[in-house]
Formats: sequence, C-alpha cells, structure tokens
Amino acid sequence: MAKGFFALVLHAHLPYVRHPEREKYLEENWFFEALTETYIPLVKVIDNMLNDGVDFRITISLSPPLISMMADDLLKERYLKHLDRLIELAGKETARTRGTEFENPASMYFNRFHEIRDVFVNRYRCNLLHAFRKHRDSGKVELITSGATHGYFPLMKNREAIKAQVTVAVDLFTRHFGSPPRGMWLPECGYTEGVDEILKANGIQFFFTDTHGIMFATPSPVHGVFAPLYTSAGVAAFGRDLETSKQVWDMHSGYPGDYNYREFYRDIGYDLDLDYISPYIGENSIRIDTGMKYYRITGKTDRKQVYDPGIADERAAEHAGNFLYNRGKQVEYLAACMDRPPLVVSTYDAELFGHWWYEGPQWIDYLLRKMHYDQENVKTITPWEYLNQYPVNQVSSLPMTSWGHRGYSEMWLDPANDWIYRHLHKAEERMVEMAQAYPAAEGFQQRVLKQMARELLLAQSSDWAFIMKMGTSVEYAEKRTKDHIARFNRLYWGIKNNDLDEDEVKTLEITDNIFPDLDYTVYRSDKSNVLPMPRKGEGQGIRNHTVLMLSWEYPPKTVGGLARHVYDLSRALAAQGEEVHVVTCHVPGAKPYELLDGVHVYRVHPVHMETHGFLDWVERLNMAMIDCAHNLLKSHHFDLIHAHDWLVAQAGKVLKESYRVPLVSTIHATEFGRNRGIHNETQRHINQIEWGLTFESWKVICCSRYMAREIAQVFQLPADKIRIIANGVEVKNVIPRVVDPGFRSKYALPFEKIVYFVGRLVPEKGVQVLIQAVPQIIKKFPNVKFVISGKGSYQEELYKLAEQLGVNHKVYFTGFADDDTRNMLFACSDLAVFPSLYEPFGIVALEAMATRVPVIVSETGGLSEVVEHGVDGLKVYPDDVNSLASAVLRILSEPGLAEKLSHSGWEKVNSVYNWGFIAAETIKVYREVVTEAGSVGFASGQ
Amino acid sequence: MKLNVPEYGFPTRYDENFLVLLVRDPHCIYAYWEFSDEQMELIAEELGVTWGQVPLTLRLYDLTGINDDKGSAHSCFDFTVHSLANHYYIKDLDENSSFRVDLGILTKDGLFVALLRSNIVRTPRESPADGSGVMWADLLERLVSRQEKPKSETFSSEGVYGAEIREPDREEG
Repeated sequence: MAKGFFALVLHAHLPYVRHPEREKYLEENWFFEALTETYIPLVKVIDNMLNDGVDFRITISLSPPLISMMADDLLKERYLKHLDRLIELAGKETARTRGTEFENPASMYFNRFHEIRDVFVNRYRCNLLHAFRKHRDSGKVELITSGATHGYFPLMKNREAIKAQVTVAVDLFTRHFGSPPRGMWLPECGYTEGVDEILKANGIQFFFTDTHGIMFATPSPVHGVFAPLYTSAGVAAFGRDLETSKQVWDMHSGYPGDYNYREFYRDIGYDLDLDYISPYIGENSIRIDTGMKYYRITGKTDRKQVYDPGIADERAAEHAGNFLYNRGKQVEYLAACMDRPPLVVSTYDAELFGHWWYEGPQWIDYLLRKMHYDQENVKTITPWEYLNQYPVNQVSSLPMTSWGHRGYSEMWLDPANDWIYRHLHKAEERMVEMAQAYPAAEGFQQRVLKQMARELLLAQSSDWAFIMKMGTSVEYAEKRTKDHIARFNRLYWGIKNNDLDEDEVKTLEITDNIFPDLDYTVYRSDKSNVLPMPRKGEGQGIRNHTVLMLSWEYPPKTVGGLARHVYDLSRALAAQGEEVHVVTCHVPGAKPYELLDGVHVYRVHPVHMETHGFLDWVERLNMAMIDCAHNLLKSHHFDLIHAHDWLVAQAGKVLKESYRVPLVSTIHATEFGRNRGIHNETQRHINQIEWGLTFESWKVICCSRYMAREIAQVFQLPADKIRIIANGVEVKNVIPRVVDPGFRSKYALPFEKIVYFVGRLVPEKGVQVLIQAVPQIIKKFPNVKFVISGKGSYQEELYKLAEQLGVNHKVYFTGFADDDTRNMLFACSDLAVFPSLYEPFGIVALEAMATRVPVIVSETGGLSEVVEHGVDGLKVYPDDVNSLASAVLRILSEPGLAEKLSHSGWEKVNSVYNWGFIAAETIKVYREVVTEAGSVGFASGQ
Repeated sequence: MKLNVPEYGFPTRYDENFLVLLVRDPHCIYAYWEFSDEQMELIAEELGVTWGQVPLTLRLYDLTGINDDKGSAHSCFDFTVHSLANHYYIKDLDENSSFRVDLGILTKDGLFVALLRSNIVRTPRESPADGSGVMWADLLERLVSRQEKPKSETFSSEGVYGAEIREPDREEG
C-alpha cells in the first residue's frame, strides 16, 4: 500500500509561430528546436516505458497552439527540412571532429538526430499527435490542454473572452483526440474569480495553481497543497509542491545546474567559423543556436570542458534516485499529519526537459522506472484518479494568482507591456458586440467573424506580454500584438462598412490559420439583455465619414513619395472605420476599380492623350476625375473631399462648388520650396494653382511646423487654417532582425563605441562639423569610432579634413550604404548624429530612433521638430563644434541617459509617427470641417 | 508561396470615454482611461483652458466589504494626474480589499466632479486566511456525459451543503 502519491505534470506550450509568408522565419525555430529537444525525446521516453511494461502516470498539457502546429502540414514539411539540415551538419561535424576531444559529443548528436527523425517520420508519419493519442489511450498519460492561445485570464476584461479561450481549446482538443479533456492547465496558472464556473460549464474537472493559490484560499486549506480543494463551482484545484519544484527548477541548487550536464550557452552556431556554419543558421548569416553544444557546464568559469554523454547519463540516474529518496521521506512525514495519503503535485514547463536541461527526459525515464521497480511508498497518479479515490475534499474560494514572478500579474502588467490591454479589451468588447449582432452569420460574413475571433485570440497570447517584459525578441512580440489587433479592427470596420473583398479576407485566413473549425458565437454573452455597442463614441452615434480622396498617383503608380503616403493614409483611415474612395490616374495593367484593404480605388483615363505638355495633361486628368466623381456622387454621399497637392486642385475646387461638399487639402511640397523661389512662368502658374487649392480648402494639412511656416508665408494663409500632422515612419523598414556580432567588427573594435552618420555628403548636412569635433571627443573618450555612410559632392573635402586633423584612423567612410547595411549599422551603433545646417524634414532622425539608437541633431528645420531636447534625444547648435562635441561626450559617458533617450525616442516613433495615429489625427480634422460645414449649412444632401 | 499581408495602421486610441481597473498584485492596481475628443473639448471649454492644462484628479475609493457601489466608501484618496496621461499605477494598497476609482476634476471650492467611473476590483490575498468555516464535500462529476449537460449549470451554495449531507456517490463513470 502506498504511503503517498506523486503527480508529475508537464505543461507544453509555444505561441503560434507559423509564418507562411516566407521560409526560414527565425521564430519558427522555436517550434523546431522544441520538437527535436523536448517533445520527440519525451515521446520516446514514454514509448519505451509503455513497451517495457512500466506502470507509471504522467499528466501532460498540450496547449492548443502547439497541437495546431503539430498538426500543420506546412510546419511538418519545414520541420523535416530543418531536421535534414541538422543531420547533414551533424554528419559534417562527426567527420571534422574525428580524433579530437569533440568526437564523442558530435557522434552523439549524429545518432540522436537520426533516432529523432526515425521516430518522427517512420513511427508517427510526421504527426506527433498520433503519439500523444496513443499515450492517452494507454490510460497512463492524462492528456489535458490549456487556453486556446494561452491568453492570461486574470487580465481579460470580459467574461466572454475567458469563456472563448476555454471553449475553443476544449473543442480543438476534442477534434484531435476524440474526447474532451478532463483537466485544464490555466495559462501561466492564472486563476481569478469566476474562472471555475467557466471551466465547469465546459466539462473541465480540475486545474492547477501555484502553491500560494491553494495556501491563501479562504477558508485556509487544512492539508495545504497535499490535497486538492474544490471551488464552489465544483472544480478541483491542485496546488504545486514547493520542494519538488525547487529541486528541479532552482537555478543554483536544482539538478539542471550540475557541472556534468550539458552547457546550454555554448552552441556551435556561435562558436564555429561563419563560412562553415552559415548554411545551418539564420538568413544573412545571423548566428543562432543549432542545438549542437559540445561543452559541459563545468563550473562558474568561461573555460568549459568537453561534454561526456556517459557521465551525464549517470548523473541523471543519480539525481532521479535522489529525487525518489526525498519523495519517500516527504510522504512519510506528511502521511503522519493527514487523514489520507498525501499527494505531491510537481508541475513543470515541458521545455525545461530537453531544451534547457538536456538530460531532463532521461531523468524522467529513470525516475518513473525507479518508482515502479525499486519501491512501494510513493506511487504515481493522475489528478483524475486521485479525485476518484478521494472525492470528498475541502471547499474553498481561491484568490487571483499565477505562477509568474512573485505570484501575481506583474510579469504581464508592467510598463513594458501595459499598453496592450486597452487594445485587447476593446477588441474583446467589439468581438462580443459582433457575436451579439450576428447570432447566425453564414457564408462570407461568417468567415469574417471567424477570422476576427482568430485575430483576437492570437493577440491574446500571454507570450507577447511576457517577451516584452523580458526584453528579448521584443520587436517580434510587439509586431505580433499590433498586427493581430490591426487586422482585427480592419475586419470589424470592414463588416460595419461592408467594404471587404474576398481576397483580403482570404489572405488573412491563410496567414492566421489557427482553429479552422472555430465557432465565433462562443463570444455571445450569457446575458441576453446586452445591447449592441454604439458605433463610435459612447451613445453619441457619431457616424464615420465618407471621404472622396483625390491624388494623381496611387500604387501601383508611384513617382514620388506621394503615392505611398496616400496609400498608407487611406488604408489606415479605412482600418479605423472611415469610408474612403480614392480617385487617381490610370496606369497600364491596373484595374479601373478595385477595393483594396477597405479603400475604394478608381483609376481614370485622361481623354485625348495627344497633350501639349504636362500642364495640359494635368487639366485633362482633372476633367476625367470630375467625370468619375459625378458618377460616384449619383450613388454616394460624401462628407468631404480630400485633395493631395496641386495636380488635383481643379477637380477639388469644381466638385466642392457643384456639390457643396467641404474641401480639405494636404500640401506635401510647394513649387516655391522646391525651387527656392519662383523663377519662371510655369512655376508662377503652378504656384497660382497651389494658392487656389489652399484658398478653396477649409483646412490645409502639412507635415511639419517648417512646412506650415512655408505655406503660411507663400500663400498668406491664416494660422487657424493649417493643421500639422506628421508623416509616418514605417518602423518595419528600418529594424534589422538580429545583428550578427561579426558584422560590427568590420567597422570597429569590440571595445570601441560607434558614432554613426548617414546621409548625402554635401555641406548642408554638416558632416564637417562632426569631423572637426572628433579631436575634442577622442581626447576625453579615446575608444570611439566615427562611421559615416553616404556619398556626395563634398566627400573628398571630408576625407581631407579628417586627414588634416589627424583623425582618419578614427573616422571610417563606408561609402553608399544600402538599406540593410544602414539598418544594421544603426542597430550596432551607440549614437547617431545628424549635424545638418539645413534640413526641412527629420525622417532620418526618426529612422534612427526607430532602431533604438540615441540621437543628436542640430537645432534646425524639421530635425529640430522631431527631437525634444533631453527627452528623446539631444539638440546642439548648428555649425557649433563645441556644442556637438560636448553632447557626444555626454551620451558616450552616461549610459543611463543614452538608454533613456533611445527608449523615449523609440516610443515616440511608435506613437506619434504611427499610421494609426496619423489617421486618427486626420479624422479629427475631418470632424472639425464637417461640423463647421454643418453649422453654416454647407454640406451636401442638406 | 508568396503572401502579401497588408499592414494596417495600429489604432492609438478609440475616441471613446472609458476608465478600467486591472489588478497587478496584492498592493497595486493599474488604471487606464481615455477621453473622447468631444469630452475633452467640452471640459476644456467649461474650464476656460486648453486640455493640456485641465487638472485631473484620480479618486480612489476603498469599498472593502461593501457589496454594491451605492453605499459610501470607507475612505477615499486623491492622486493628481496630468491630463495628457492615460494610465496610472496605484500602489501601496491593502491585500484582499476592493477598490473603485473615479477620474474627475477638483474644483477650486473643493468639489469633486467625476467624469469617468471604473469597474470595481479586488486585490488578492497574500497571506493565509483563517481556518474558520471549513467545509468538505464530494463535488466530483462522474456520470454526466458532457454533451447532455446544460452549459450554464453551476453550483449554488445550497448545492454544496446538499452534497455534504448526501452519502458520497460511489458509482464510477
């Protein structure tokens, strides 16, 4: 008769990192590594025990994203490729290391990878779910699941959102394994009041909490964590045992830190020559783990010794013996204080075993075999079996807790990630609203609602907030959160405004394809009397605007930056619920009408192509635009017209007058500014048209204070007619994915700081000021390298200047840098300097800020506007060597300041210069104009 | 396969009025809020200043043990927040206590005008409760198959007592 029970619980989860958009996506490796190092080795251990007739029990939680990735054909195919590359590498390595001390570990990997492939391909036909199903059917493995996308329940706002996480997970599990799970692993062990009722309603009988989740229950637990509690909803809660978790988890005293075990942080992906290893690591030779690691932990030293698999295996067996001995002592002690045999619940992340603790799967194998063969005091059990043997348990209510740092929600609610909740909660609300409004959608509408639910669920993964808090792969986690939220809102407005087309939805379905059978009505509220949310504003019923936008170019037609601007702006407006109709010029190959991401685009042909020059052509274009708009206005009501630049001025003016629709214009540049004055008739004519456009417009939008001053002067516009809305920065175009350490060494020595400049090498960019400041800087701070990218008419002078000052060994001219090189240089620089003497726009400084580099700019024009001195960068006087030198020294010598500036700069780029924000600002201008027009009786349809 | 996923703009705000509380740990709650443009204009106009100069006050009410929010709070505490801020961490709270906040304006004559009202939250325990009221029950669900079960079923407190008195059901499912 056993004196006590032991429940081993492994929780396996990874976020959904499937990226069909391209091959060799870095984050997909998370899944591949876990397959090779943890999931397949665990399957092997369990298979072997089943074959050998070992009587054991183990509880395994497979999260729905993990189940979905294991079942996914694209990922299976990519994993096989990944594994074959790994085997090829291991083959090369056995040859290379023959006769050296590394021979032994290298051939171990070679053999293991072959075994892994054999299990994956031959035993389970590339579908590991077959393995887990077989284990479950054996009765020895209690297979359970977790929240649909591992969303953290305590920080959700609506009960329906938690309900959806549970129901969708149970449905997916049932589809793959034939019957519903009996238990659930709450994501991050996050429990909060009311979760128990949702679990119960979904047939879940038990879940797990961290130790204090049980210990701080009310009333206090009589048996501590050594017996489960029922919540009042009738679901059993099992608490984690502190002693066993420490023995395995603890970084210092835990088993995985043993000096004979394999060292995780010495991977050949980093250690070997780049030319040799580059086919087996990331794209562009980005160094990543390969999984082949030849050293043992050795001790607190950098001089690692070679790994010996045999000795490590012996240690795993000893540790298993030690663990078992301690459990014997533990249950003996506990049994004496209890009215029944105690239950010790040990819960772990599955990825600890194999991925972090390489010998972990062997340890589990030894432990469970020893428990079966060597003793009788401690028996393994599943929570379900325990409940059936001991169905009478204490009833208590549990506090909100998690297994995160310090036991509550601070990992997921922190200044590093708190901004996500207002968006997640809004999306929850909107999803519930939609499910209420469309109780039984069919066809296309149903597809859209399902996709909305997928985007919301994917945005909710607790992994994103966790990664943001931990500070590695932050860009990826932020991108994922923002992408899913943005897609969700686009679909929301798409349904409301009925402007979605099949292709757009299909692209999202292919990209975010989790839960093919999802039922969006899980978001329906239990309460029947919930009213649909008002469309915008609280009960105000403010209608969004219908905008007629005129632009002479729109993708695929792109001449300057205008097309890109109108494209990004119109899409961002549509994503926030505005109805946008763009009328633009035809280009061969483009459709005359298309609905593109919620934007209606009409392309018109100027008639009579035999024109007498550009101005004539512009007039024809405007005529064609007016014709097109006449047709549109028969069936549409427009709240306003938004014209971009002088080329469409005439159409804007005519339409405004004939339909009494207010006009707004954006002036991107002026003829005066482009030519530094008006010098001939054509210029005068264009200048006149520009003036006319601003005169006819109710409001004129421009991108900077600098431009605002220019148009106020040139066109004599009153200040209250001008609105400044910054241009957007496409952050993703600037961010390098990972910086290879080898890249930096081409430019500077490891101990040298890098000060970076990029731009045309012309006098007004002020590079000469920077070079003149170099002697002063290196006098105080010798370990610094000045890297200058770009070319231009002034470059020879700059070379000479560096030579004359005797600093050419400290100044490195890279010549012209392509986007990739520039981005990597930004990312590995310690400081970016833009000492321009004249600069209308500050985009380059914003791009630097987007890569999280602290910036110094000179106080001039647009540059001066984007930086707030001492907050998100430093400003210096233009053409002032001393001022520049002291600012550079200040940043180099105050790492705290540099960190603060770069962080604020980065935040700024992501808020003020984000298209979502720009669209919101533009909508404000629209509202202002529409309200004003209404109050003076100037609006169509009235 | 070449997939071109559109990059939609990420919303920075929603032009709505809301104030939401989340619990971070036994001693800290997080408040986030937003004012609609219309609301901001109204308030600023009323006070005769620009929005950036509106003096906002976050008022925290301790509602521990009070069941509804009609009754008066035990105590309240004011924090000054900048009108351009959109969130606040309220720290040094008691464990196992209930709170609500209002965001509003403190007038010169000391009157508090609430503009936004939050949900009510409760901080978790961080110490053992006492052992009074211990109750044992068999709440295990054995025979009911999932499909037949009505989804909204929950146990009431009567159900718990009923189960305690009842002889434990020994049939295995």
